[in-house]
Amino acid sequence: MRRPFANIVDLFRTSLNSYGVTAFVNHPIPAMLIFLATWFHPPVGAMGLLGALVSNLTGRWLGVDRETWRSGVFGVSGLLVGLAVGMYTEPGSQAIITTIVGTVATGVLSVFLHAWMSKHDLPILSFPMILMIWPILISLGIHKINSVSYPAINWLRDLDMWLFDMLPLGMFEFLKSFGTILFQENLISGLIVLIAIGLWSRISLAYALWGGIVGMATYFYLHGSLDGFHGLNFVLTALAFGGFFIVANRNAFILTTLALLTVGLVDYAVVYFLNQPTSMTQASAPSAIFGHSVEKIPSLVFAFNIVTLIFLFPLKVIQFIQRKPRMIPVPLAQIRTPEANVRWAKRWLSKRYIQKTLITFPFMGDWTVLQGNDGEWTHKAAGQYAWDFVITDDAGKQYRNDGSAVADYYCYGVPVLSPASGTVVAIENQVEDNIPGNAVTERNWGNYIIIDHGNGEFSELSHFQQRSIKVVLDQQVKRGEILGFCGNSGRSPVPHIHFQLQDSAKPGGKTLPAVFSEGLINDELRVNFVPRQNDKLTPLKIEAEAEWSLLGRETESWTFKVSTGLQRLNETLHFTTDPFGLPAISTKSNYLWYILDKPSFVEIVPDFKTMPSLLTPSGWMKVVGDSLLLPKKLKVGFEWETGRVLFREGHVWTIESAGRIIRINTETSVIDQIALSNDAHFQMNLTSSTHDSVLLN
Amino acid sequence: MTEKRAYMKPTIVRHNAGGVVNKYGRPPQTVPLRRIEGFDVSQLAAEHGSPLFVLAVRELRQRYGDLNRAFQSRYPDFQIAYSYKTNYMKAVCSILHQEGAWAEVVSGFEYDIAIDLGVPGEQIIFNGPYKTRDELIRAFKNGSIVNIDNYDELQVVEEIADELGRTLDIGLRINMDLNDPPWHKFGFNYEVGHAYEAVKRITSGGKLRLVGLHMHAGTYIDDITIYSRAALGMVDFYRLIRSEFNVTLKYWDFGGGFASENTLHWAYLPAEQTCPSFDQYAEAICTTLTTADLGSAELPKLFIEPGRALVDDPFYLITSVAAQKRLPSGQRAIVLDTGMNMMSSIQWYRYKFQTAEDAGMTVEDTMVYGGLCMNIDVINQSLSLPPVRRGELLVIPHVGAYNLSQSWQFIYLRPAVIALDDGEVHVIKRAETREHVQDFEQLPDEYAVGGSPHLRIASAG
Repeated sequence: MRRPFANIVDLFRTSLNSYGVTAFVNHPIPAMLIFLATWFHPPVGAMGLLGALVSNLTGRWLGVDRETWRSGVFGVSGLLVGLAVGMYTEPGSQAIITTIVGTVATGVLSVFLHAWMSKHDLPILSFPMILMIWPILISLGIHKINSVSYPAINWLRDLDMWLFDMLPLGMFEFLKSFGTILFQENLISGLIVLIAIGLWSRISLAYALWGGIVGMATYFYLHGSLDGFHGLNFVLTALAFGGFFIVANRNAFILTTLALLTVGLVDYAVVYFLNQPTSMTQASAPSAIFGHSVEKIPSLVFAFNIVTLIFLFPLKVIQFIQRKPRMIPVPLAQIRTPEANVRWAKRWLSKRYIQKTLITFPFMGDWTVLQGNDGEWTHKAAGQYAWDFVITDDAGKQYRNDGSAVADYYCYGVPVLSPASGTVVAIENQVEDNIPGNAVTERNWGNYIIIDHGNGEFSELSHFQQRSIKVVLDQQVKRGEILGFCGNSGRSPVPHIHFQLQDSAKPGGKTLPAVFSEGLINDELRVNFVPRQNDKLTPLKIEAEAEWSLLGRETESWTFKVSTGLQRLNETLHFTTDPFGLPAISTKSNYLWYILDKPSFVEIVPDFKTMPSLLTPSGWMKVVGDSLLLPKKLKVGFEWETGRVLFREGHVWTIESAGRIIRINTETSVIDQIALSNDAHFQMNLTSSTHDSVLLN
Repeated sequence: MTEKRAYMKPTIVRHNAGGVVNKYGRPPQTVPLRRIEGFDVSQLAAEHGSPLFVLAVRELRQRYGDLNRAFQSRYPDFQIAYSYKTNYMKAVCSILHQEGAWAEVVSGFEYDIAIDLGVPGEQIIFNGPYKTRDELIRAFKNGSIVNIDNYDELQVVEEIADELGRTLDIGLRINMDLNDPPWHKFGFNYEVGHAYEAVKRITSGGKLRLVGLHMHAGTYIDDITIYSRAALGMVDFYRLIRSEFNVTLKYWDFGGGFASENTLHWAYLPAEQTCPSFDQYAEAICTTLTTADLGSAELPKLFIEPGRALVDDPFYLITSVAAQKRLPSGQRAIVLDTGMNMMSSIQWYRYKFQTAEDAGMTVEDTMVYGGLCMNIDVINQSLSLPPVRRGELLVIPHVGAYNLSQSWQFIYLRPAVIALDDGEVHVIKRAETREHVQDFEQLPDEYAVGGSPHLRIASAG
């Protein structure tokens, strides 16, 4: 009984979010203010609301992913279409019907563009609106544009007029700009939007003001006057670049200003083209809306959309290649307020060390993290990226009996392994073990080993049992080789292993932010992760070698679990041949993917000709890129041009392919993607991955 | 009215300075055991009868966790297979499977128990000197691990491979001269080359594939060097057969034999002081294996097959004094309400006895007889025990290994077994009834009491 009601609330909440997104605001209170700002002319406000609701409903009806839908992104363009229709056409049943039809189309277009653009982590902005609005306006009769007399709330209009008289001319144009992002050409709406933006973020507010100023200057320079000035393109561009899509900093400010100037040029050209006389527009006579002439077809937000996309796209591609990027685009899923984006970027930059060594746990069996990175006791400052590991029992205790002797501790005397291959460059083996509770601070690291991995990275393992170290100086050690035994020497109140990846061969060198390449955290398979305090860690049992190949499985069916920003779907694929006898994979709907046999890997390429459906291929694109690359044989350590086989656990193989971590279960015939690879750039994201087949942006 | 108490001869003992350890260990233990897992011993006996076997589930799980932790922190791929023969009560096996144990069985009967409990075929290790052809076929079909004990069995398995039309993976039981007397009953000997010959035959036959080596050094081994020598021998043998026959092992299995906290008859010191810790056993085996140079070969999976070390300690036997008497030698004697039929391990163990109530510090050398009407039913010839009366309860800890699986029914019915788990009592085996004991017996009509023996003669005539 609650369901239909809950769905309606959900729809309204989502539509409210659409109002916020229009001005790059993700918070209900400013969104509510923006909503109010559209009601200066109640019929216009009503049309806007109608557009938002219909467009969001369309997205929902198409079955897009619930979380993405709730952000309101599919309703933004519908809202703007509704407002534009309300503003530029005669109110009436014709306008309502056309708006409903038009915003359904806008909703579909939003989903289409999202499916397409989210692949590159690009926002759809209001592209659907600029694609749909002209057909709608034209169909409703452009000739009516200037003849509409606007019903408005009288006292608001009076107030607006009074303010108009009070303010100098330029100031009125300036403040009005903020309203125009919702096609509200009045000062009251402009002020409300400005307040909403101010509530949301100071950075956004500053940029919005800057956008208005640069916009007016540019417009004045190009047109010689402020007549016909609509600040919307400038304000929106300033908001988009002002800390929302790109982290606010000095370079971002320069970029924003350049984008604003470009917007001025593009908008000038758009207006020029739209003002060319056509058969449709010839009939229209110049007139006035509140004293400002709107000539023929409005240029709307074309310039903002084009310029934002063009300026954002290269940044998204370039960003991760630079070691210290000047401008940092924020991943869409990560965007909060501009202020929060700045904090995110700080964290991201600090953790964005590109690790060269693949490290594994320096132990066997189940261990627990006693202290993780930035730990409460000793992992601070230059030593922040370190771990202390202990063994605990089911009750969480580290010892049997009363723990008064080192031998009571489960981890005491247990082998310590090399986390990666390298050369032993420093050893201390003579420090006495402490009685539990007595840490010795003068020989901080106790008995330790430092391994040089040959790439500027060094592993330090410390607190070994006295004289338990089995390796010698300059010895080559392999990943997983026994180095010695866990003890309680140095600054160690209880037996444990201290591990850190550091930048020098000195004990206690500056620690480097490191991730472990694979293992179980709390019994869940993870790759490239940072264990945290109290996590239970288990190394993978890597079984004896075996080989497997995707080729020659003509009688089998495989399931690919696909998760996209739009939908979650399972595709069952059958190995088959196409009419020409080429090996291929088909789905239930007979779409084909070709299997290309390369020297060391198998490439599965979608055959676009057989794929009329929009949603299904987009799902595929997301999971496989333009094609899926799988190794020709599964064998631990096997590498090919674009990937490598990471490890095997039973029937489940984990491979890294073209920047993706893909899991292949050879027994249940399921291929799914667990995370993006950190290959060079994405290690941050992986620590937040939770479930299988969930994609991270 | 005061109860009239039976006369009891006063106990007079030599004064002894308390707490001093002599060569026989600490002074006699007189600490009473009033509660097990929070349950009153007398209450349990009142509700479930005496004698009564009691399993402390928490202790059992803890033993498993301790043993598993000791090995898995020292070896990369390790698995415990619980030795069913030690105690194959369903609840015991199932709890250990919950903890992650595989099953180690030595007969079709035990194999059925494991399958019945839901253990996947691939997680059953089938050992033992006598496996029937049908049992072997079933094990191979289920993908179980089979360790071959002798040439006759090898021949049978080769025939089965022909019959099934595929190459079968097998393990080989080997024995080494590790202890005195050596355990030569099982498998193929390493030192004289029988094991080598067996591998040669397996690899040249083409019907079987050798994927595992199995050994078991003995039982209640408190000398850990036996395990390190066994591991060294195993490594040497693997290197030999790898270089000569290109064998790649998937597993090696070191059996069980780890000691529990019971003291052997011939031991000077109590077991708590002599028996090695799980860490020491693990150290002896794992360090030898993980530091061995196996060339290009991967470390095979390591199995151990503990029984006693897991289930002996968590079991208690509650028994009561049936009678007390004075022997002609002057030694005090007591008779229990249970006997050697329920305690087969008395041939090895000098069991510890604890009173259920505080019986004072004064102890006297006591002969403990079982309740069976047999002269040989002696549980302990010399136990230091405080004065106890008829009906008083005694608790014998650490009785979980073999006593239940080797018990036999004789003149009395066998008692119930209960499990204490987190404040709850579960009866995991009901006390035996006469119907149960006589269920399979048949009494032909003509043997019925009151029936005429002449009837048979008449009909024959």
